[in-house]
Amino acid sequence: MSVLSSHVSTSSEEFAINRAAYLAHIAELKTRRSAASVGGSEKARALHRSRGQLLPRERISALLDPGSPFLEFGQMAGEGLYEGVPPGATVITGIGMVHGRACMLIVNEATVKGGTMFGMTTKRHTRAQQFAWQHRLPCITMVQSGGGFLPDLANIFPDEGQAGTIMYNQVRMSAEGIAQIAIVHGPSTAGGAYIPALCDEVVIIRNQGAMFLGSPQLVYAATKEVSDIESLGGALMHSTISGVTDHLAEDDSHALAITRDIVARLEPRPKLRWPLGKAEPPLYDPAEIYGLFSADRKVPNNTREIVARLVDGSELQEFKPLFGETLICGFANIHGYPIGILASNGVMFPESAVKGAHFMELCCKRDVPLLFLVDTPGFMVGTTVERAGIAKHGAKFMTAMASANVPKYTLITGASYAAAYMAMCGRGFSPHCMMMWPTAHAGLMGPDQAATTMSMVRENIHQREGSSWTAEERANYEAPIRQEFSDFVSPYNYARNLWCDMVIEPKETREVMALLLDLAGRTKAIPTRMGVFRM
Amino acid sequence: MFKKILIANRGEIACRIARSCRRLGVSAAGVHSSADSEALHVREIGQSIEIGGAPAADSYLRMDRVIEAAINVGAEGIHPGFGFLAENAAFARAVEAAGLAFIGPTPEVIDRLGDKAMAKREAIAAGVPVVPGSEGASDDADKIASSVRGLELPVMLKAAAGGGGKGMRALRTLDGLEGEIESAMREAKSSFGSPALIVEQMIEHARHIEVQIVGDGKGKVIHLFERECTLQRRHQKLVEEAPAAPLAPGLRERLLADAVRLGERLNYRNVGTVEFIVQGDHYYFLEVNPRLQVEHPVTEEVTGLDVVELMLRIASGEGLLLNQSDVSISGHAVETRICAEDASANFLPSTGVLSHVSFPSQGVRVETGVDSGSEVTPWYDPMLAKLITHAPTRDQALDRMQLALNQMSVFGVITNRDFLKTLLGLPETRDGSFHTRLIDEKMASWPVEKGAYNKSTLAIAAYIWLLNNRAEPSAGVWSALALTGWHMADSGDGLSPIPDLHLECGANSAAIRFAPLAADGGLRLAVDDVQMELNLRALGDDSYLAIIGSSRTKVRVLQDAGTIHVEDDVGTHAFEALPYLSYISASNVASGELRAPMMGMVLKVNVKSGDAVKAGDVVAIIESMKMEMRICAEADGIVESIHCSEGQTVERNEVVVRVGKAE
Repeated sequence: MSVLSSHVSTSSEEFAINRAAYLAHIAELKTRRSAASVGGSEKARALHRSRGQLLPRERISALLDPGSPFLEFGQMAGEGLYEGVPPGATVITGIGMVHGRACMLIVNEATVKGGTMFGMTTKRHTRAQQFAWQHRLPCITMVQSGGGFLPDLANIFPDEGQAGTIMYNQVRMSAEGIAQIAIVHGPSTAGGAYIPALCDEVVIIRNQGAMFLGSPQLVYAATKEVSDIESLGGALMHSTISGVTDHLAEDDSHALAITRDIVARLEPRPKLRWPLGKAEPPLYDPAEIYGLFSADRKVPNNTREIVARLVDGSELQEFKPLFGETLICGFANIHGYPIGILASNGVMFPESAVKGAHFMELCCKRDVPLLFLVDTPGFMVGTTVERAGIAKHGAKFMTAMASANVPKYTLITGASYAAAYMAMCGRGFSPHCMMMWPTAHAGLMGPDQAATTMSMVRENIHQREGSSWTAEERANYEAPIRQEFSDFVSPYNYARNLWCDMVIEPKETREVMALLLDLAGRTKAIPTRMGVFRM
Repeated sequence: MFKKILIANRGEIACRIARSCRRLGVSAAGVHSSADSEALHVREIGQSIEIGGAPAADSYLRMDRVIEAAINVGAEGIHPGFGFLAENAAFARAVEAAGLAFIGPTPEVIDRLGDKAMAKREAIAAGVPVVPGSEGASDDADKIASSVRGLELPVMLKAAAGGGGKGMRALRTLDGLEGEIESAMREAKSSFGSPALIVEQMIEHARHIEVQIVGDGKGKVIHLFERECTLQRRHQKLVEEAPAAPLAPGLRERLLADAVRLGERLNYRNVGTVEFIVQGDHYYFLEVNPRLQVEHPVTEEVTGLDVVELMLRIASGEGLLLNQSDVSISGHAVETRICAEDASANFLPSTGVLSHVSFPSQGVRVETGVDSGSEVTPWYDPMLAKLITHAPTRDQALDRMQLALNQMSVFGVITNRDFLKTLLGLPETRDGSFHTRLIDEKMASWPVEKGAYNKSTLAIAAYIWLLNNRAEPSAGVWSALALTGWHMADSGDGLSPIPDLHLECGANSAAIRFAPLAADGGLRLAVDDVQMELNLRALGDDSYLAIIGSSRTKVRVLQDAGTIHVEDDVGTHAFEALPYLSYISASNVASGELRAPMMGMVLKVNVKSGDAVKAGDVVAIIESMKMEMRICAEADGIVESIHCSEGQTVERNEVVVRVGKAE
């Protein structure tokens, strides 16, 4: 295999400037993650603990095997969207090992607004289910929720992808033999009661967990029957009388221990479908990406230098290295797992698109998963490329990408705009996982382009009406547009809206990819049938 | 020389005797009890006959079976080692009556020396100074009391038939004298079969010096110089050396001459040890041990002789070819006895399976009766091994011993190793100003506390637990060592929000929280509230280089089921590892409410309020549907209250007994 060689001077001034800029990005990322991992207010957490309950993240820690990794999805969901709700949207979703089996954990964050569900909560929940379904991961749902947040009803209740879909997914997964386990840590009311009820096995905690279709208040309002939580839907009642729940636990820890025992009896983890190579670190330290990733967005990055720091032994077996150079294609390993990489190396040209389509066909025939490393301003425009048929070549690329049934991963490292965002396996094309680096920016157009485009339109109006505006007026007009687009293209905007699954940093990328590939590698390969290629 | 002998002993001494046999071309067979069928000495000797059950009285003390075994294996002689039958004249006689050689003194001499009073008379007759005291043994309590009153306090009462420090007691006051005598006689009777006591002036702050003698039984007796065995705890020797620490001028010569003269008077055959107590330039005869001594290796080291070989040659009829002028000593030797006992718990014997045993191989002689996998049972002496160092000077020999003790490790039982290290470091030991009561007098002020480990010891144990509890590494990246604890880093410390593990040692418990393992194997973890960074580099054979800050220390760590043994620069430790969920259930079990599994009649209530119960104990029995249902305690605890009575009918799920946490 050919080894990528690096020509970066780690002692240059440019390296130092880039590095400082990147470290600032990482500091911001870590601060945002910390905000997401705390949970509710100190008071809410203290109250929760005072009831003898473990905090949601403590429950996760206790449930997982010693030393298990935990790969969180949608950590920053809903950031800034709901008042008084920290990033995460009152639920934690992620994957960890229980008795040697990778499981999807879906855990209500009960210390934030009592675990009340918002639109983003259901979106994060269903996204976790979708991933679990795709990877056949047992789902462990830890329920403690006050139900839906009524003002956000439109985003929770009526549509596909909302609460109903949570239940639909549970049933369909159960039907396919993907274990659905719930622990009822606290109240689960009305529709919420169906989340545990639809599970294969339910653990409920004495004097804490409760399930009912109508709360005591609602029961009184509807029928004038006086009841209390324990008699209406308490753990003991459900475990001894109604038989709604299967295991009665004395406290959180006991419930987690029972759940571990349940998982221990599930079918063992399937075998990996790919031969696992020897995991080797890259020849060059991934941390050097900080210094070689251009702090100035106008200066393009050298993609090979980045790939050399992401793949095992910095080895990339390149496909057509001399053709369509603006898209690098090649085979590599990450932590021993095989991967086919399509990495932008500038603007997409007709040849790059055709090369990429060819490479994706190879990967599908050989069952090699795809990683799209995105850093491109878009497809080339102009008469030359139109006459060369860039539209049909781009379509070939998209057809291959959308048809490919091998696992697909998208990592936006830098720019990702317009049709290239789509073509490089954007969210709309359902990659197995969508990731962004803190340096990513994605949108229909960049802030400068947007501002310029809009002021040009305005300029035309001025000309038509014979009026004029000063340079200052023009700048004032452009500023909010620039700001709006700048906010839009931020990776955190994508993370908050769950347009991406996670914002990760260069140094974590190999680990995240390896964890994802391992999960995908334990599912059956689905043969690919390509759509019609426009020739 | 013999063609074949039987070694009627176990442990290190059986192995050691077999070694001399091998060197001399003498075949050896051994014996063992049912408890010792897998013991090291059985494997070392190569042929061994099971002679009975675990209690020594059913096996190693069974003369008939030992002699039968010797005859069956075709042995010509029996070496009794020490302890068991070594000083039993009846045994020696029976061996000789069976036409076999007893490798030791004549039965007559054993008889004469076995009785302390008689031995004392022999010493007086040989002109050897003796401790003032009663003329002879007596089982008349009044007579004993008057002997005590006739001496200056303190006075020592000794079982006439006793030995090895057993059956002795010191009287420092005349208060309660009669009671003391009565209880000493009772003890003597139960331990040695005879209530007879002898009374002696107690010589305080004295040293214990003994002379190794060898005789051919035909009048020739030589000495192999002296040994110092002053470091004793309750008359049990712990550290021995040869030659003695500095003595008053001319004293050694007098001791040696007296010992030889006594031997000559006894027409001594084979090897023996004449014991003295020495105070300043006075010395007194104590007793003669007519057998091989535990501490004989120090004599061997300084004289270059093999004492077992001498025994075999004399017993086989070759006689004693060695002359006094042939014997000289060079350098200084020190021996320590490694025993399975807990110095912090009044030297309580410690038993269990030795999951790991290793001794240093350089600069030290090791006499061991155990190896990795051996089991230490409560049936026999707790001595596991002896370490012997030999160096040009006493200081160097002591230093080497300190090092050897540091380098050894035994996991599975508590040993006295750390206690021995303390002893060797005492200024009194180093300058020879010690006396036999030093340990007993000073021990209370030594910090021999259990669990003298520190946070880094716990960190090391926790690290190994984490590695051992990762799923098998072949299972892919989710269980790869490199991704241990991986999660997306935030600005926090990365430590788990709950204690992943508790490490318990006795009543102490430490909470451990892990952060993800770094790529270089470094691990940040919190031991209770103290955060530390640790890396362990495997060196093989359960050894690791522990890197904490700027220090690098070689440690040995071994996990044996739920126990993690750590040997580091502060000692040997065993921790019970309790992962979070088991810790919580162990420390905070269920509700303590024991409920009726179904409706039925209470047949029996086995406990009452305040009773201590153990997990699994049946607290009540309920009859229902023609079945007897047992209601068992879920965890150890104290019964708080009973909510049913026999004959009463209880409903399903009704609480019948409430168990609270034990204090």
